[in-house]
Amino acid sequence: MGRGKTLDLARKNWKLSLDAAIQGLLSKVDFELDVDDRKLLEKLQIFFDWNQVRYSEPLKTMTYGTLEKRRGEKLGVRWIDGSFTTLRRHQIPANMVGFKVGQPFDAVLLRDPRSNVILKIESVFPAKELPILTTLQADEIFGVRKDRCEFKELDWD
Amino acid sequence: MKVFFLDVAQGTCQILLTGNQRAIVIDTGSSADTALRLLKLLRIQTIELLILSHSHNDHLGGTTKSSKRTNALRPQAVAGIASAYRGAIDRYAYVYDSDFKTKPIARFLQQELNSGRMNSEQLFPLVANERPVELWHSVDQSTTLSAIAPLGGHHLIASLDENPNACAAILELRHRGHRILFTSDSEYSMWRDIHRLRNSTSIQCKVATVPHHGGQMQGTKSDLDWLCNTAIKADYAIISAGTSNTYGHPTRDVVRAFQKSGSHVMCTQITERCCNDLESVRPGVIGPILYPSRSKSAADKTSSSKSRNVACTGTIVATLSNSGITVERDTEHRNGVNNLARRGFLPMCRS
Repeated sequence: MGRGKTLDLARKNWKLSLDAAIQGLLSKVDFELDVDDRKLLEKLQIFFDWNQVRYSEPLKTMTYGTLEKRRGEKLGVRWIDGSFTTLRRHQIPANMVGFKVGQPFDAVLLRDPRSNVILKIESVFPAKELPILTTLQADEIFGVRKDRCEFKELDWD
Repeated sequence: MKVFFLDVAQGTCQILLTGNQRAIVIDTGSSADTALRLLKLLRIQTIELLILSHSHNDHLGGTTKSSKRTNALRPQAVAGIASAYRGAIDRYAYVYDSDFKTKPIARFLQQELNSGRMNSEQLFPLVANERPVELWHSVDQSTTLSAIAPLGGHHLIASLDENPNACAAILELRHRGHRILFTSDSEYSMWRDIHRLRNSTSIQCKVATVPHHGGQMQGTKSDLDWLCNTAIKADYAIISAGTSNTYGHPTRDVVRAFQKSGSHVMCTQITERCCNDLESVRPGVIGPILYPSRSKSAADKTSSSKSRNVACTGTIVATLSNSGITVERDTEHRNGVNNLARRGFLPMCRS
């Protein structure tokens, strides 16, 4: 039930509370749902296909990549996870047009939730190349140092 | 709490949902795609702990090809997860083996440290010292995740043998007296050391991942029998292996040995040793789970026209509750395997 002094305000209030309820349920995994949540979900499932709701919103992810190829309208990007994507002009933000081949950048991507295909790059920020790490530096940063091993010891059983 | 043993083809990735839009990630598989999609679909905001069991490509991703251009981006799946959750990863726990320093994740983390987006307090090299070390516990302390290996000496052996498997992380999730073991690509020698430290008592667990994807390890048949019968006693043995993998994982010997010890074996993907007409069971021996996986409903073949990404159980899910640990879709899997056998195929896990 929506609340408000006028019909319009009540309708707006109802829409907002419905959206909040859906977002709240979507952010929970089944083991986190309490009795009230389950009741609400049951009611909502009469009106909504829950999977459709979950899969309808594009997934927004951040990542780091490098412009690897450029041919006319097409841009080839190598992402840090190893995947390669060919993008067209309408899929990239305006500031990416000026990027030269080899330019590393941080990006916010919109992906199809079902196929995980990149729909578009929402925004890009030029970044630095990843630093070259010497063995000495790596040992210093990542090596086993007693002061960093502060884990609590447990019994075997 | 839920534990996902993700279907990532030939490789390993486990995701532990801890509640409040938080998760623990153990390895990523060779591609970040599946893990990232699950994390995003479940609206995970924070990765409490990103655990890197050892630096092999099927666990953390990466490429063995070297680029002619020195400044070319050398990719790695785990770096993809780290960049996607930049600023939202509380801690990194990793095995600092000989390959780690050469991997892109090391360069990425150094950049994060240089830019001030993270600090060295968030980095934890994994070493156990004769006892399990606690990596994480739930708020009510009913569930703990600990590392039982590598021990200090394992690093030395791994570096002398140039074999990161010899110091791969072995993790243990304890929940109200029940256990799940994440064994990564651990070797028999590591299990011998653990067994000795445990005063020769076996680790009783509900679920254990089978070391090295059910493939051959450095040892003999008697080592294998000893591992399944004496070192580990598991109700469920999970094998994360890919269809048509070139390593021949899992082997019939390993599957049989775990079965003989009383474990119910479940594989994420099916291989031609279980079914010689893989396309007839696509996308999986049992219906695909809602969660993302590498198994595809459309034809997916290798360059030599062999089937790829055909699920057996697909993504396997274990649920931790007050009553213990349950593995979902167990009966469905047993029925699926029996149906396969009725059609004339010889699934390795059918007792």
